[in-house]
Amino acid sequence: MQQGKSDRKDGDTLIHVDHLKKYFEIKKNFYSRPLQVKAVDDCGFAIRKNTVFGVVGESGSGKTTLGRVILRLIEATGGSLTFDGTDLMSLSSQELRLFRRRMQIISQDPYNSLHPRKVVKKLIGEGLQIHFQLTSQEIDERVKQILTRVGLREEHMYRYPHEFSGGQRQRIAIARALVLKPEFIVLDEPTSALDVSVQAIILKMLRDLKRDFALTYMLITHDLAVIDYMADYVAVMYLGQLVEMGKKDDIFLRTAHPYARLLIDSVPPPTPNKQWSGKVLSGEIPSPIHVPSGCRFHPRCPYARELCASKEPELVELQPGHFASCHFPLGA
Amino acid sequence: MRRNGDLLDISNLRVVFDTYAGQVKALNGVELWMNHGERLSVVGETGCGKSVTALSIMRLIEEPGRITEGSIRFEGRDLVSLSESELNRIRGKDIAMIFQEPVAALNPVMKVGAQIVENIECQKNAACGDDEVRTSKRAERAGKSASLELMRAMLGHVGLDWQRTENLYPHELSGGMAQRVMIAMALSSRPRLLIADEPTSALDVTIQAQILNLLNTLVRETNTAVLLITHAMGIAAQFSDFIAVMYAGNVVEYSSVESIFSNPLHPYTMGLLKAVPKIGSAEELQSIPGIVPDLVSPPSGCRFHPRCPHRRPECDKEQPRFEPVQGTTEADRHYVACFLYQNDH
Repeated sequence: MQQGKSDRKDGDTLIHVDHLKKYFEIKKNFYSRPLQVKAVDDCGFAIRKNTVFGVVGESGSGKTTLGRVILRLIEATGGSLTFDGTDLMSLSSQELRLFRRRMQIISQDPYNSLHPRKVVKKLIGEGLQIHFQLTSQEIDERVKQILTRVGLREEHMYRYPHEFSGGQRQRIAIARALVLKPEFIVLDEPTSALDVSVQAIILKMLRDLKRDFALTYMLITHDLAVIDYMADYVAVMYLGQLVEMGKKDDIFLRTAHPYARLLIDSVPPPTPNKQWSGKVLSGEIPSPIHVPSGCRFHPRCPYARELCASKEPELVELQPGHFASCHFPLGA
Repeated sequence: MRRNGDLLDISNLRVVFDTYAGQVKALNGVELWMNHGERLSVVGETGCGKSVTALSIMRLIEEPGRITEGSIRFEGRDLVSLSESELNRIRGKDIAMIFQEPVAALNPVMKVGAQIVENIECQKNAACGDDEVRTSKRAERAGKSASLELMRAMLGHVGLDWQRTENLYPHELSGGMAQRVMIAMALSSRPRLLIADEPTSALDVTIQAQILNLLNTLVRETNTAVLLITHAMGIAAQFSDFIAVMYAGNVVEYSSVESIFSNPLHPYTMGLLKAVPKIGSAEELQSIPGIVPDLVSPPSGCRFHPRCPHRRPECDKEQPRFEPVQGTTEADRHYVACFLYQNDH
């Protein structure tokens, strides 16, 4: 596959991923032969420094697994993965620890991602202790600083997670990631559990923090409006593969893959006068155990032809930086 | 303007929950109404009371909650004063409900076809369980096969193949299929009002679009009114005729969809609309300062006043009346509860 090739020479690349695979083995019962779930199947892309790389897809498309494999929170089955020029796959767990500080994750559910029996100071300060070996006083200082930066107050330091609202908890999770001065943060559905008015605050804050701390984000979400608001580059995932990737405008305005188009069209716009076509994508996402032959999307695709059922399309560069895997891309 | 709710008319509805932390004043005089065949969306954030309103209509508020005041008139009858057995003749028959987690709402150990048939039989006997009508064996068999027919027809209406679906258990269904089964069950009794409580929040966007389109087509065909509870402004904008915006236990604004989006009047509605990200819009998101109040000790007067950018001296003293906006038309029915639009202040 040729994806990412045009970016490879680019000195600004922070994350480079090639042919990345993650297969899970499942057994129906003790005696049965294991089946493979191809959660991430041959993905390749590059994330540039100081940009937001959005990954969008339905549940079961493998977007969360992709985020976790990139951080080596789960081990990949195959492929290569470099972070700022270093091959992450070949690092031992001890060597990897040095990189852990530089790459952080903020997950969807702020109710489960914070230890319920640790106070905020401990939650945020633990990483500082591990990575910087600071004294208690220094930790105090840094925790206070970061709390004010994410809109919380000093007095929150000695409270437990249950004393906070969902939005405040997500601020704690952000503070915990930021306090280590990372370069790269995976945001896995950072606002899906929050109300829209709180979502607006958190998204704006994440944008400001990116600017102020020169951060790079990989934003994983199912919400296309959030992607449109935050991302510079967008990758659309379907059944473990990237079906389209490019600059945000490539995806939203010059959409090439029928799945990406239908995904965008199925979001009801929040204005009544804008007539929603209501074009509906038929069927449901198939099981990743029994992936359809040829193009994985062909059973649901309104434009599918014979070729689609037999031959798997490759992710090709249609325009510089705009990739799609479709035999008959839209607008071509 | 005369308010006309010939199907449903909720007036001054107050619901409290007695908890150890104190009395949660969940609904604080809700005003809401709809006519036959209309689609009304109730929008608002977590804890604003939209689900409590829906449960109150079905009289499903359980201990420690209770309705303390107000009326819920359904086709003229006040549901608040009805007895349990009278309610059972209405629940599921005249008013049906579908929920957010369709798989959890189905009986896990019963095949879905049988569940729908059971529901149809219950509705036929009007008051299920209470006073079962004794009929001859023959009539019963005939009735049963009619129910079976109806179940299969309903599965067809919701886009499922009955031969493949009727013998499945709920855990074998995807979320989208389970919601279709729920819709089939709910509409099998031809209710006049369907309450849908966040019917698509647990589903993917593509499945959400399928379900909403299906729901829309079916209720249009049968002239069923829909009370849709949602937190997504996009769904409210595309799938309703009227919108009621709730905040901290009150309906703060009520109007036709067009009017509420083009001319939002309540400061909370304005804030909410500006906080929603839109595809293809370069507009900066705006958030509402402050947090949702604790309903054990809610703010005095207008419950939104501590967060309101247009706050006036009278706002923390008394609750603003829910009144029609000057010059609103019969088609728009624009009502708002805010002192900014009340002339006597």
